[in-house]
Amino acid sequence: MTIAQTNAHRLPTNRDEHWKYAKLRGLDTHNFLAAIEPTTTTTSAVASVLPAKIPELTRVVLIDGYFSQHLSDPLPQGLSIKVKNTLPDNKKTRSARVVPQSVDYYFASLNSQHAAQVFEVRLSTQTRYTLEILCIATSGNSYPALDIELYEGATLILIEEHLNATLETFTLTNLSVMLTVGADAKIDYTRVQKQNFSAQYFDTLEITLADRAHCQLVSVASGAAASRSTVLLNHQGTNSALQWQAASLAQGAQVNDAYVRITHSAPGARTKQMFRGIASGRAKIGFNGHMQVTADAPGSSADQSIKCLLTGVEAEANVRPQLEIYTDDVRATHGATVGKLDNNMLFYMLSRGIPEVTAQALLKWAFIADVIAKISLPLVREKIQQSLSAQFPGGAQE
Amino acid sequence: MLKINNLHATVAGKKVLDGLTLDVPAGQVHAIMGPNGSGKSTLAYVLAGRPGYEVTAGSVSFKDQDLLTLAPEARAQAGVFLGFQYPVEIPGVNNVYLLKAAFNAARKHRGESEVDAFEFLELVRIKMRLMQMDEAFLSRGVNEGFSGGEKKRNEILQMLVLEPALAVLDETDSGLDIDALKIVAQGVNTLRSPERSMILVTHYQRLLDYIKPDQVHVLARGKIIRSGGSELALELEARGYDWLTQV
Repeated sequence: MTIAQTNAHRLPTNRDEHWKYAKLRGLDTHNFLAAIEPTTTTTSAVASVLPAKIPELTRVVLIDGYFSQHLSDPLPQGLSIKVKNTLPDNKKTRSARVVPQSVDYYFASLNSQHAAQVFEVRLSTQTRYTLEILCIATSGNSYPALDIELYEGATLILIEEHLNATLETFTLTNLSVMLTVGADAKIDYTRVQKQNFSAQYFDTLEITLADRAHCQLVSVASGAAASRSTVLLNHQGTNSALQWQAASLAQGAQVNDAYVRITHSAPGARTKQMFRGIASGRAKIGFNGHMQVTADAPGSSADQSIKCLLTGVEAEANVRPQLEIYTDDVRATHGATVGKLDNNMLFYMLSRGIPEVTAQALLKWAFIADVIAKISLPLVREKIQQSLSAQFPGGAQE
Repeated sequence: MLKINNLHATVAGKKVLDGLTLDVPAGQVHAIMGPNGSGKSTLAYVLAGRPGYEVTAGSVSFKDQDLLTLAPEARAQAGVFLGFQYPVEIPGVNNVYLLKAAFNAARKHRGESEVDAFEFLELVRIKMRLMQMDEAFLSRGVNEGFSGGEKKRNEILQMLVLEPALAVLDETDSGLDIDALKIVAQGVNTLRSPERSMILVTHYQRLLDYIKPDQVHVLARGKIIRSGGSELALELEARGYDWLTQV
């Protein structure tokens, strides 16, 4: 089935405001067929490329969006996998929840049509999980679908990682995550996208925060030939809090684009948003951060800091901070910069005998250090530092 | 150690050094004084290889090698250290990491093995005590949020760790109160040795109360116009520069 034959909303184009800088070329002729269920051979191949296990995390492995019981830890109570055609009636609403309201929901809608399974995480009141979800794309299309709900007072530490089974094979991943954080619940969510440089990657993350819910999200994207992240978050409850940090690292001819819309719909909602992008070579980074404070959200605060570093002659960064405020009682700050490595800092380090490559790597690492520092689990933080060290030779500080 | 001969240099197309000649033998400390805009900081930057400081004529020989052909990092690895007048803040790069990277780069250059973090920390702690610096400085970003005096102490700490053959200290005394000045001077004096040379760029005599120079030079209009012993600094303090520059 080609895109023209689906019933979903039309494919976004670069003429759409929120998709201006995404790499969409070739998608109009791409065949978005459902993913093929992995064979035992595929599972064995994936087993050999899985990263080392972190002891304190329950591991879940999805291969091309399919749950792999063989490679996953036994699921604790509250975690389940639903095969789509056997979803109970009330779960059929998942498709309805992602009926396109705008072109921004296109990929989520496509996911709801093609994902064969939905991985559900339900945390009952006052429970706590630490969970690692590894999404491995092997070939062709991949539709991981996660439905996460935290009930009152629950806590979830979630590490979500996106990798490929091989270094070269083209894959197209379309991830959809629906996250509901209940009253007084807390999620600490780290997402790492490190697909191969042939891959195309799209994700849509929809988040709803209830009263006093707390969401800490750290995203590190360094993979895929082209990637696009869409985050649509609603502070639905009073006094909910979001700390959102992202690092986007693009090299060669990579294109990394992100659109984040955060809506403050209730009093006392707080958002701190930090985006750091480094584009080298001919790479392009796009970031559109749209924060809205509605008239129903007095006492809100919205802080936005967006910085991009260009280290390649032909590298490009397009950043767009947007604050849209409809109430007088609000505290809001925003700043956006795009610049090059600071020559004074560079010379200072050279004058201490540090080789230029190392000095540049140190400065680049320093640029994203504030984002990495927000990863709360030390072992996860170290693992991510190690995985990025090739891009920062001698620069990744422990 | 250092032989500068007829050095001409420009910054943004403007001539700043205009035939400067200076010889600093091993084991000696030379002070360079002079009015604002005379070329003192330019000389320091030229020796360290700062981009934008273009040498148009002359030569600089350091330990019998042509210093001007070396990249800034190669000069540092060969033993040239510049103490900055305005040390740069580098948020996100922590002090100890920078120091260790610099220390190991110099060792690697000399064909020695790199030291590990534990061994290095022991070494740094000794030097920090000398500079009366709190260990908390190590984990902070390089010079980030440091006061003017702390930045200067940090420069001297780096010098003590790297143990350069030639230290060029550009107005290390500026912005220091008298207690900090004594500590900085103590750090510099600790490093004096027959194998090491130092150039102190300064405006004021007071630094030379604590670091006794072997020679004092007056730099004006891009060249050395007068050289003498430490008594020259006292004379400058009393009479200013006008009597030398109004020719």
